Amino acid sequence: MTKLAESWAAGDKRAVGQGTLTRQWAMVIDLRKCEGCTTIDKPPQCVEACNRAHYLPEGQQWIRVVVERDQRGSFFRPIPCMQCENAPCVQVCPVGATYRNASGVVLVDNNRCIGCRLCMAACPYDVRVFNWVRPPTPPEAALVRYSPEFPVPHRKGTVSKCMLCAHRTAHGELPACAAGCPMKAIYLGDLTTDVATNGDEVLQLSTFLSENHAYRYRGDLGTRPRVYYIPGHGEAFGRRPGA
Amino acid sequence: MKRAPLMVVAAGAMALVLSLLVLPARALERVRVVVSERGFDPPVVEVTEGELVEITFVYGDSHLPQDNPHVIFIEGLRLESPQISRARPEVAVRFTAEQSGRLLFKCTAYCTGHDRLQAGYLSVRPASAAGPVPAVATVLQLLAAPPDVPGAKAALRAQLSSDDGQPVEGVLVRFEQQAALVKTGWAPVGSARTDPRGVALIEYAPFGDALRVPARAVFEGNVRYQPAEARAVLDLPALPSWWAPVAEVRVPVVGTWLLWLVVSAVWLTFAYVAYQVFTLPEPRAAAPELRRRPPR
Amino acid sequence: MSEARRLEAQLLGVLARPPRWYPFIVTLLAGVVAWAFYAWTVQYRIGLGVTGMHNRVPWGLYIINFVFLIGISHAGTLVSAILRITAAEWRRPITRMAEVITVVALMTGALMVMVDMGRPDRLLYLLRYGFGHLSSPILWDVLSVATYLTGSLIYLYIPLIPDLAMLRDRLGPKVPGWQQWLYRTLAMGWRGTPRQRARLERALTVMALLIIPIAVSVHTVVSFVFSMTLRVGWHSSIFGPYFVVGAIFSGIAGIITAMAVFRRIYRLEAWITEEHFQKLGWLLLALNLIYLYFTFSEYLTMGYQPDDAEAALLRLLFIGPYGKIFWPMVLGGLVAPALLVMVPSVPALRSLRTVPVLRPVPIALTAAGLLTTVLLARGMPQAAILPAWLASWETLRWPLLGLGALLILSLVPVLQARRVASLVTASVLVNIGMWLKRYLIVVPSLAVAQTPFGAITYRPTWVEYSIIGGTFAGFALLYLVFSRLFPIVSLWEVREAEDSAIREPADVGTRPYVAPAGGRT
Repeated sequence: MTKLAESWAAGDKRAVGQGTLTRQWAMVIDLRKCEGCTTIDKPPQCVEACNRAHYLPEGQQWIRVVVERDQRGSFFRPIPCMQCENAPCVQVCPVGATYRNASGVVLVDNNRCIGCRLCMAACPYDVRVFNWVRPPTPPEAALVRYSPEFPVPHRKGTVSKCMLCAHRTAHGELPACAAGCPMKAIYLGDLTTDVATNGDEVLQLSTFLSENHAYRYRGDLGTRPRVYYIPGHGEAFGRRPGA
Repeated sequence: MKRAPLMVVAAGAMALVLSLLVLPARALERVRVVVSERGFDPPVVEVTEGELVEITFVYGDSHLPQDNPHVIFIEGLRLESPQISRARPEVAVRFTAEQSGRLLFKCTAYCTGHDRLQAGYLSVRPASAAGPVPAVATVLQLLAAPPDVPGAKAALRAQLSSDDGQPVEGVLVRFEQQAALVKTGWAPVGSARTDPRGVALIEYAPFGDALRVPARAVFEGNVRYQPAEARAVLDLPALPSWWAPVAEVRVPVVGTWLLWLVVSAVWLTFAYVAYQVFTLPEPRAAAPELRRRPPR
Repeated sequence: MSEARRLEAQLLGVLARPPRWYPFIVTLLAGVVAWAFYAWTVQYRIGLGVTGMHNRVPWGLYIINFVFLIGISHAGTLVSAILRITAAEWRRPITRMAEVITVVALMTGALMVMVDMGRPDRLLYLLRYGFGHLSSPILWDVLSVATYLTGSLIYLYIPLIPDLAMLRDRLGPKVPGWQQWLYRTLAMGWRGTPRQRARLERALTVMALLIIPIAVSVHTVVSFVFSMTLRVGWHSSIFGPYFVVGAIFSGIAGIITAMAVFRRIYRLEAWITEEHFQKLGWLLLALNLIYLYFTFSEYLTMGYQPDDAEAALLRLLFIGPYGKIFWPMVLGGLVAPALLVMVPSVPALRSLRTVPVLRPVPIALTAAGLLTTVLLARGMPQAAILPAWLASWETLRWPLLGLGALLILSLVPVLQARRVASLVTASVLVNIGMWLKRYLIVVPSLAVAQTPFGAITYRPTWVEYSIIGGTFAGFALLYLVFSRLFPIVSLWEVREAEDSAIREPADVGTRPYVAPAGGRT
């Protein structure tokens, strides 16, 4: 446990040569590869993996998959927390319970949150959820020591959300959704070193984004999200956009 | 003059015979794959690069109570088979396996029992491994020029020649760089065709979290030449920084100090008023005004 | 005996011996409050899940009521301070009522926020951590509401001092010991010496000047909680003034309602006259028109945006599920009150009385008869005696609408004869309308999907209704208890006006209550 806490406190820093390198986490979701898990006839596996990894109470989804339409037809869009660099939720929190850590991940300190829910009203991506009743604690979650990087057990009357699996990335693991995606459509990226990976391949983040016309969801809002989408309709797995 | 047509026919026949002798024969490889709700049988189809392949997909779900049609899509080739069903239990697709590698094929129709496990692979052996003509061995050399300024571009120069020293022109060389995030892997950074000197050159900005960056050039090989690979190391002067925080747009001058100023001014006034109120009581003697009673 | 003396006698009588209905009403209100408290304990035990709020509509009735009550609170201080500064003489009998509304509404309003918190046990975190995070509009709210509450308590207390001294001297043993102690302590040894009067006057002037910007800031900041977000319908620069005007508007309606109630229950008709209602009515009308204008510009700007979300919000409001609230709010809460204030004052309309057909009772009876016929015809099987055409609204739509118009016209002379009644009706309508308006500000904006979602609905539960009911009961209870312990009219100010009317103005100046020689301090 102490070891975990130490590595979190380090804020995903590591020494390189003379200087120190701080990770700046980002996420890339390749919508060409996301077919909503319809070809395998299962509920979205990123959502399932996230729910399992964080012992989410019923009714909460920290990442959710929605269906959208464009000119070519429908497509699936997984929506995790966008980890905005200019996060509206961080601005409005009256007690500083929600904050960005050194790696740019927006975290919630459930031991400080007073449950005013202004951050939920302020979030333009609807990703924040509230523990409206006492969340059940499964036995395996009861032993976890709480930290904002791994907000388990959940606290009644406070706000939670996706925290880009800060507890996993600190140990060099993919976020639960990326690891759980059978299509390998979700990439973890690091803006500092310009590397992205989905666990299968390793890529240069900036090239990957620019060559594939990546965009940020509702980028016009100026929140500068850290989550990028590569447009597509799940065609990598033979899905036709009209379907 | 009457023999001219005959001459033409004869020449044509000669050319045909010659071409059959000179060009490698394009063998037609036939494979049968049974498609059922449990997957593909055999799950992996091995063919050779450059060969003409005919895969016959056979409907294998006749034992099921209902019809369970399939459409098989071969990724990479962008090839989709006609539907097989009870009514049409066999379809054949023909294609040339142009590139070696592993291609996924799977059913794209909605069918019962289907699962992602029900994917098959088309494994294309490089022609050099089995081709009738033994390919020429090649030598690849890689020169890596690191940037002199952090964040600038590095140059990777690969030279491909056959083992007898002749430059190989017009083939594609892929460049990769090693990078680590969660896992360590080779990230593609670009590709270039060799020029008449056999040189392929790219410029790219090195990335990652290491000062010594391994890079490699890969020639995949083709019918005539064997594959080759070369490695080099880029010694970066310092780590480039790819990310910088963007300055927030804020209203100038207005800050929390203004808020404090206003709030404390208000509360000081409250204190002044409270002082006025709390100094109201006074000793009775000091009130000569009491004699003057208001009229009733 | 002068008017002021009679008023004093009347109110002192109330304080010495409360009316017979008083304990019943207090018990009733306390019962409602107790029920609300029980509902709150349920909510505290189980969590906010017992309310109708959910992740897509995270705010509901509590925040709506908070905005409404903070709005009502503007009544007082602002109206009384502005009238005091501008030396409007007619203000004298109503300032105290207005000031009490402010304090009571602020107390109950602040309570709403605490009820809405997911972790009320962490309330003090706002002080512990809050001052490091002043970028949060909630902190601005905490600061300005706390300042406003303190300020309006002081502003209520200062003009109460001379009256307290009078109660101390005049009620004496007629009231229980603790009440005597209360008056004695709070009166601050007031005897009406020139030095005391000077100090009181200075404090009162400073507070009257200071409380106006504070009051404006409070509702501006309440609007900032909404407008600082990126939500459609909230993110608007008009919100500050829009909220302030709405607050003063509903505040004045609150005063008119309270005036009518107290005038009735404490028999104050001689002092709170039709003139007071009429003057406040003009103020109400002015703010009504400004509010209509703001509403118009708000929605017109929104409707001109080529933005999908804005269009979706307008659809929800105008023709969607919230239309059922929106149109009653606009027509019943804004247009109808304006007409109710204006129409009785148009002399030309008086001639309507001379038209023989225009009698409300016959017209209403005819309309009711027609309605009953249609309803009966619709309720019966097809083979009934009544012809089928009678059962269709189509045939009778125009006759019914015509009768409705006639009814309204025939009511005009009635309203002209009962101006106070029509003003009070207008005020009640405004209060209901403004509550609905706050509902329309909070809920539909949250219900507009920012990311793809199905229909988002919000249905409050019994817990929310109980707590809201309890808040209003608590509001009434606090107001009533205040009026039982302290004079609800500023007695010394009324007498001061009378004195200055009798004597030459130069001689008197301000003359708060002056204790008789034998008075205790």
